[in-house]
Amino acid sequence: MTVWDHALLGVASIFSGPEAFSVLGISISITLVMIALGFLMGITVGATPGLAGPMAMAIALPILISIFGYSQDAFLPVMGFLIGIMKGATLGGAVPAILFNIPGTPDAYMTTFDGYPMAQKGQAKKALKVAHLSSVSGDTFSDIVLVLCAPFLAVLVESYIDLPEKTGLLILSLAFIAAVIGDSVGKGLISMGLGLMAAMVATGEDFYPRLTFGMPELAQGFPVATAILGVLILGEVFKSIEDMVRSGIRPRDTIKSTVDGDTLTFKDVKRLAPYIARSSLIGTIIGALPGIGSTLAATLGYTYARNRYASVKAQDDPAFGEGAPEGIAATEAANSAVSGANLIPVLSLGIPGNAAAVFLILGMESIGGFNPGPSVFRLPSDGINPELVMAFGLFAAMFLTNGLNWTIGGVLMRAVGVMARVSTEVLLPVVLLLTLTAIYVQETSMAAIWIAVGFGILGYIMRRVGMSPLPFVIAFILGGNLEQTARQAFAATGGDPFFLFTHPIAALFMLMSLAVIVFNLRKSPS
Amino acid sequence: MKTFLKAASAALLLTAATTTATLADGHAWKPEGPIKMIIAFAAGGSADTSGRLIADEMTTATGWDIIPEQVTGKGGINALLALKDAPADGTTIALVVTESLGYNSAASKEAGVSPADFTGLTTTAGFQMGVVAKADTGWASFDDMITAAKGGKDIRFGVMSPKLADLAYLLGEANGVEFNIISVKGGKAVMNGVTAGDMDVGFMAGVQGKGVAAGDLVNLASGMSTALKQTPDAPKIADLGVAYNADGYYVFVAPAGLPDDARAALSEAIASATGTGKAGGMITKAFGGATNIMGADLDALLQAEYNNAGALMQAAQ
Amino acid sequence: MFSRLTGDKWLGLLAIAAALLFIFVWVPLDTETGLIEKVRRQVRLGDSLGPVLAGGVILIGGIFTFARPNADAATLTRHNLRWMVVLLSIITISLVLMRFAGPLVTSVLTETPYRALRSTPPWNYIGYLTGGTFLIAALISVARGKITLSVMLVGIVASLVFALLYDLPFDDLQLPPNGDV
Repeated sequence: MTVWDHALLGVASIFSGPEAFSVLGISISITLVMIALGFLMGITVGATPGLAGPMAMAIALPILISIFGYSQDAFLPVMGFLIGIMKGATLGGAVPAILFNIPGTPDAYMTTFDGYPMAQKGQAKKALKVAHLSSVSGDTFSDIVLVLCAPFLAVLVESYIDLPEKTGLLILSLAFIAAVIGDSVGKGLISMGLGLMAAMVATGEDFYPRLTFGMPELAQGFPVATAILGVLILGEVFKSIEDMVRSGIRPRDTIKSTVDGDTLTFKDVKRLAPYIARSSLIGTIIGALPGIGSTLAATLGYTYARNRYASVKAQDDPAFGEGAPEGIAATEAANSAVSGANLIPVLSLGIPGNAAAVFLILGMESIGGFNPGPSVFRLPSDGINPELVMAFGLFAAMFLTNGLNWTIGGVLMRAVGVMARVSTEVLLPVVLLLTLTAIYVQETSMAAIWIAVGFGILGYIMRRVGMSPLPFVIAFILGGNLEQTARQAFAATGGDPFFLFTHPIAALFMLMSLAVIVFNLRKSPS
Repeated sequence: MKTFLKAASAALLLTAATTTATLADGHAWKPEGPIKMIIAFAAGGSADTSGRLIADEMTTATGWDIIPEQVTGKGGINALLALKDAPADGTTIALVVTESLGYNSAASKEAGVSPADFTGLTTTAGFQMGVVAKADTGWASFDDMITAAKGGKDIRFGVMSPKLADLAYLLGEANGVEFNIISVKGGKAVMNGVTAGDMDVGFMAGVQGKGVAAGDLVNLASGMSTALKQTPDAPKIADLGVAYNADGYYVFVAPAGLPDDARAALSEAIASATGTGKAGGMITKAFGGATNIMGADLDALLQAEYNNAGALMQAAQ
Repeated sequence: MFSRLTGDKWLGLLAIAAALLFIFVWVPLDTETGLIEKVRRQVRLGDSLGPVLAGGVILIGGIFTFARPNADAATLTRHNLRWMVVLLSIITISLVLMRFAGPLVTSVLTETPYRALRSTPPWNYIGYLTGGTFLIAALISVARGKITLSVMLVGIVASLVFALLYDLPFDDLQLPPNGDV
């Protein structure tokens, strides 16, 4: 079977699957329904200040697994839902940023700079339309790059990379993440070291579960859900509630009614197109690198566009920060373009680049049957490679979500504006209870809840001392993999203790790891 | 939602039907509440799938409510530890391999599990343990590989358990070569390693079936005392100078002290599930058919594996 | 002198101390095999190597943080510590309620032990509803700085919705604490 056959099967698997219901005799598959529901939920969550895409993905995952189980039939509905959330949330985040000057998600922060002034001038509808157009364009561009690049990167990796090189590559990814994220390399390394340490608990080759103090609750290691949901979700909830206790609850601004010029004309689109294109490219490149997420992409896209705009703008056009549609376009195209490209390292190397990718990998791992990495893109000489079909199914799900986004995204954006009125101080405790419940349902043990609360406190402290929790999470996920690959590389080379330095490509990766640390160390503030 | 409602109502009807059937029947054993089925294998693999399908078939046949739960790691020892302390009333059972109760229990004395702590229910299927290489290595037989090794090639041998690592080591020793033995987690990982070229050869317990049939993989030898069903001509491990073998089965066990009627009812229910419906089909495809060893035969098998483990460990020292 | 240290200096020192403790005390005491071990006449990586390297990463991170502190970096204040105490007390009380309210009520009202009733409504909801309501109501009250009856209502409604969400459609899911009792 050729690649093309696999692609067709993958696309078909989205539509066939088990039937949810039928309209006029056409059966609608569960996968389609789940993609649509995920997208709806994503937009809603994105539009709700205090909630973000990864948070919703984290809470949804255990529930989805309980519904669909672990069979291969579960893969596309569950992953489709998660992808729907991921894509919907970036779009939804712009809504309260424009309407109420509150970013719905962190990466929509820059959208408030020009979005809210536009809304104040009575051009809210136009601002939303600009955000929609740019977001969807960036996203679609990024997905196309993903489909074109991931298979080739995977094949390239597979043909040049052996166990020592794989070890080196994992080290390089971790070094990169630790060095680039957060306000200093030192804290990034501490966060990463803690994540590696947590990953080492109860794993290992010997029958004795190491580092458990002999506690049977830990004999299987920290449950993945407790560590990740604890640090990422509970930590954030703990911090946000404290912020409200300390600084009070911020009243919401309201906006004026519509005035003339609140429409998006073709001329506007033509003017915005170069900004969208440049930011899409920036977002896609950033997304493909592990560790630097959509917030940085948005910042870069915005800054680059601002410099450019300053030199070409007409006298009476509003400057950036005063309600320039170009500012919204540059931000939204960049942050949305991250969401496709961040799957490039996920699918071809099994390395998650940001929080959303973490939950996609977790989804794949908990369902089983799909091991992200080069093996996904292997063509067997006879018969089919089910993983390749699943990968094409994922691609199809992404483009389908984009289709939804193009068609009904704009309407939904206007509808979810109301979410910004939900009071955060009510929402966050409810999210806390839901997260704890989701953890319990999956692990059925009160000990798991306590462990999660412990990780939540860790995540809270990390945020308070300016340490990013993301290196922790990614190191926790990759730690076991790294140790095993290192063991295997060591055994495969017949016990060569310097296997990382005697193989040229591995040595190059090690050199790059060192360079990325040293380079970032020099730029860090002192 | 609709499928779910359908399933729910079907389950309800089924429960009602079987409850009345059992009542009419009189005193057949039935579990007090739902049965927790501990599965010692990673989700999504063939062993896990077989366990879940068996649970489905059992529910269909008996109406018992069965909740599968993953307890993985340490070659089944974690699952056995979780099972050991559960009440011995038939509401907790576990799917492991005979090796977990044999070699692995013997090797991890400090974990404190042995066959005496458990009641064997029934095996579900035997391994089809082969020494497997990728077809494009050009090796058609085990001898070809040994010749390559003697010609100076480092051979990376993938294994998924300490027992298999011992056997791989002995296999090398008996044939005058030293393999670089790479331990990974699970048979699927060995297969991925061999297909990706990270390993040259590896032990696979049945997962290789499709690849061998397609011509991508070759069974060079049988790791067992019997020939492989798929490649009957491949030499057996004893023919290659090793006095030990990788014979083994997937097996359901319960805690020690399980009442006899519960043991009989559970064993029968599992055994008949391994031969019917989706579970039967899957087991035939992946493991070449069900094998049900139960009762006293199973007790003897488990005890023998445990007792013999020491000799293998000694030999591989 | 020490009061002159910035938050980052303290963090660095703490990380260095923790890493050293981890590498030289915890890892040696709580792992079976050393950095490398010899099995089947082949050397392989032992179970201590990974943890020691993880500790090493923390150590290096600590040294960098100590040597190049960010003067503007945020740090834990006394307010933060007080908040953690408040937060953990609320969570502890609600988890204790969640775990024991069901068995307590059952033992007062019926002869049947809770374990036998753990999947029978209304008994199986008692703990979850009590603990969940307390958690939500207490946190909202703290955030608003005042206690009103309406927050109780929010708590009850939210925990009831979640309880029904998990319990009604899925036979094989258990609400806290029913998998533990």
